[in-house]
Amino acid sequence: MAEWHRVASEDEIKEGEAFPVTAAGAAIAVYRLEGALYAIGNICPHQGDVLLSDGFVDGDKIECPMHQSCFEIRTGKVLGPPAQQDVPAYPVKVEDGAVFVRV
Amino acid sequence: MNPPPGPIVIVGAGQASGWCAMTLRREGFAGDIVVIGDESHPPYERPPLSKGLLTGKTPVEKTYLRPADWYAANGITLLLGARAESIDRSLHIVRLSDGRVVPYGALVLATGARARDLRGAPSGVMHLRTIGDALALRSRLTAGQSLAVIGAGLIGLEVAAAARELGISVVAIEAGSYPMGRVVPRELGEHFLDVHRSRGVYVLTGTSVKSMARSGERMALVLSDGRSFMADTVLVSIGSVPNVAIAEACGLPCDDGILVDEFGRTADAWVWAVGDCVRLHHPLLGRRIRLETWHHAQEHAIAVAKNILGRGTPYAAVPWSWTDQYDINLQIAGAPDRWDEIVWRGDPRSGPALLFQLHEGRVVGGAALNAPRVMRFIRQMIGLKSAISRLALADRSVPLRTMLGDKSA
Repeated sequence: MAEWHRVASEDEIKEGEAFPVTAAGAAIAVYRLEGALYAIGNICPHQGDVLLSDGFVDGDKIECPMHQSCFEIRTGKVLGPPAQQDVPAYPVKVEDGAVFVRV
Repeated sequence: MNPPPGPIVIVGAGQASGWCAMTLRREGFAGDIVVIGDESHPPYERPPLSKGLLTGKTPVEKTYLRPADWYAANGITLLLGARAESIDRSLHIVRLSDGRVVPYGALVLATGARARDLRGAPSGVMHLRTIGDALALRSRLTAGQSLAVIGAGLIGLEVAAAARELGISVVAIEAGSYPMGRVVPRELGEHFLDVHRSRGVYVLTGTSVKSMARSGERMALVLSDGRSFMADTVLVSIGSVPNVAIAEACGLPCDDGILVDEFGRTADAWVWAVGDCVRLHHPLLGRRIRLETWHHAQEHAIAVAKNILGRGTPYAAVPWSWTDQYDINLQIAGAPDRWDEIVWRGDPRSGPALLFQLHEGRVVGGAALNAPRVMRFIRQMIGLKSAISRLALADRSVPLRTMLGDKSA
């Protein structure tokens, strides 16, 4: 059963940066794009051992630091090889300045 | 040009073959695709073979580009355990060693490379190229055993590092004066020499194997400097040779690699070639080169697959590769054949460091030790035509992206 987890305060999530968190055992990164917040899985599915948040935010994309797989921040959709699977996207909400992710 | 009529047949089932097949499908080719490979595995990535597969960290299936059943579900026929014997370009067919005949509309040669043999080596020496090779080597790497690695290149040193993790005693023999001489400058090779020695690998440089003979279960080696010793297992890792025999036999021009144009096309308009088996003119490097990297296998195959479907995109990716040894991730880019200056940013003995190779003020090659993130900037830098300040390169307080001008991310 998915539940909301508090993972950050709102001012910690900045444009152009990935904010790594863990919720219900899942590695997730939270992003801010044009004001709105998004949360997607933070482990590159290519080899399963690299955190995407160590990579590059390139507009609305995050690029893996190791082998440059690329994912859409809004949806987790894989955009570039070598990864071939999407990363999960999680619902995000803000309440009283706190960021919650539903996992 | 329109997509070719009839099936697209890919000879070889390695990483480049897999990316070619997947890309053809993804880009809308609706016809039959047939992949012919002499191993029993679907297309897989080789980097784990000299690392995680040896230590047991990476299971075999994890190396597969796609699970074996993905291909059938996507209309791609995998003919595994099948050997392409010859090609008849006038009849548009491939003959297999078991007598089967496979017709093609367009043909892609993804025959890869094989480990180079050491002349005069007795039977029982090992090579590392396939999953089968890796599993055979792994079965020999049990604690207390000894391993001799002939050739301290990327593969040899990765195996040495994995073997040390497994408690094996390792001797590495290198004919050059420093390790990995084919892909890194002396300054970097000597650093890796120190790293391996500090981890207990006995690295001998400037010497080669004069003779080798079986001695019971072990192998006795005599070196050109007169030294001799015994090893339980011997790995020959002295580079690779491209598999061009089938291309040569059907009259396609080869020169240490199947010759292709910037689109991946051979001298025959219906025959293409991708990956390790290819020698191509690289527009950025300004010379003909054969690339043997994971990155090339992927990117070249993707580019050529699109070209088969008529996209007409020249291949000009900046060469890039990496190696993992112990806790070090080394990424290298550029494949320069000449440089007149080396600039370090940071000291590899005390943390992450970058090395730049400059030629007439331009960055022509670069390396990042435990700093993989910056590779995208180094690769962009290599693509620039303008000179870059060596003072800025050496200064850790200057972000690399600020040296790239307006186009940087």
